[in-house]
Amino acid sequence: MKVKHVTNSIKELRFKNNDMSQQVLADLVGCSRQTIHVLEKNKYSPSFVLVKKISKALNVTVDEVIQVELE
Amino acid sequence: MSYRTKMNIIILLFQLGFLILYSVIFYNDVDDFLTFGNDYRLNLVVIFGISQVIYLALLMIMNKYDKLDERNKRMEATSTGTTVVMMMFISFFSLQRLYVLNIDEGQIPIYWLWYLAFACVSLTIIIFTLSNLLIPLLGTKYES
Repeated sequence: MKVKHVTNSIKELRFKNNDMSQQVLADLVGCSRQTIHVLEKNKYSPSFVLVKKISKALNVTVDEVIQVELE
Repeated sequence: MSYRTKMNIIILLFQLGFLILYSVIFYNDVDDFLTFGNDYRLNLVVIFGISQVIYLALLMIMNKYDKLDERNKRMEATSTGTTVVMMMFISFFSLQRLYVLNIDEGQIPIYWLWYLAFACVSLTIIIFTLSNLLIPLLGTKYES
């Protein structure tokens, strides 16, 4: 089973959460701002724990944060 | 440019400087290198010590002011693997070259082995730092 397409809504969800900055989100989940930046650009495959932390920080479900389409 | 990238560039420049210093010392007559102390080996150990203290201090500063998160850890793990493999090849081919060059004399001059030892430590840090700088450019994408 291969990954067909991966998208994430972190940027949109940040803006919906009072225009939260990348640095604020990074501090909330305990990672660097660069990690949030590359995550938004789909250049990094995060751990489940990090996705879970992001979803909690943004008050949404994991599926709303990252959408993975499989073949 | 991120803080980690800047610090890696500083580490790289320092280690390149020390590698050049080792090369200058060994490519010239080692007996002339008696600026302080009476033994070039003692002088080299002092320089080596300074280089390692600077490296460790820069690492401590870098990790104190920048989070070592899961992405950084993953990239450092990849860099470590790359460095180990490259250093194995470099050590192997350097020793082979030394052996071939000195095959007629029957023995390898000890100072070339000392040079290899000191240079390999600097080279290890240089390759590791270079990998740390290059891997983020390639990205750690989603597995398929």
